[in-house]
Amino acid sequence: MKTLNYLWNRYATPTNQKIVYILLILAALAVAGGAPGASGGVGG
Amino acid sequence: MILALAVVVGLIASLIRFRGGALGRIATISLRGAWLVLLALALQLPLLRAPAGARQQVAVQQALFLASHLLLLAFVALNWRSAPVRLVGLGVACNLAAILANGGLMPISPETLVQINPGSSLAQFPIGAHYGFSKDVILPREGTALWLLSDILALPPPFPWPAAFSLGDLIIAAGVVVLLQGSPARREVLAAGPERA
Repeated sequence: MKTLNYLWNRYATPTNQKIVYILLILAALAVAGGAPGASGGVGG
Repeated sequence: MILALAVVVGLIASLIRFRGGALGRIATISLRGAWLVLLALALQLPLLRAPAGARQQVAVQQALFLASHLLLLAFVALNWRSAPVRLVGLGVACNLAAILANGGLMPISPETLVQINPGSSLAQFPIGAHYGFSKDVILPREGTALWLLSDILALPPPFPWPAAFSLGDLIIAAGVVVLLQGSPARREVLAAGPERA
């Protein structure tokens, strides 16, 4: 727990949190906007 | 999910181009109404979790999927001043056109499915069925409206995540990659500055 606290305080700066937020939103945008067909969609 | 790779590609491209400055540039990207994207994705989840089967079995999921596009288009409208978001909007519009022209799901041909499912046969992909865990419906090329905008491009094995995708998907991926490079205005400012990395 102590290590986690250290890592959070060290790396979870407001800027880094915003970067992660933007990357997640863009990933969601790509997934929601796109319509790819991946393998494995039928049976097995 | 393969389109999420566009974020990884965009991030890597940005890191290569701007090195230490890349993350700072990404942090300045401003997206209005981001909750619309998350809600749109949430509305699509039931369809993405539906196994293969008759199209009628996913009628509700399909309705939610179509409704999600209103949210995506609203997001694009809210961020219209951003050229990369307009590019994403063009991709979404291309996909939506193919989806609407084919009854509400993205068409994909049995031949393309055989390409991305090694060892499978055409008989495993019945025409008119929903292709499981996707937004796709299986249609023959001759029965597909706006065929050029359907899932006609394939990334077969040995690509680790074999998939078929559309021209609209490519445009969306390009928009995301460009967006992660920062705005032209900011690029010009950096180019004029003495501390450019």
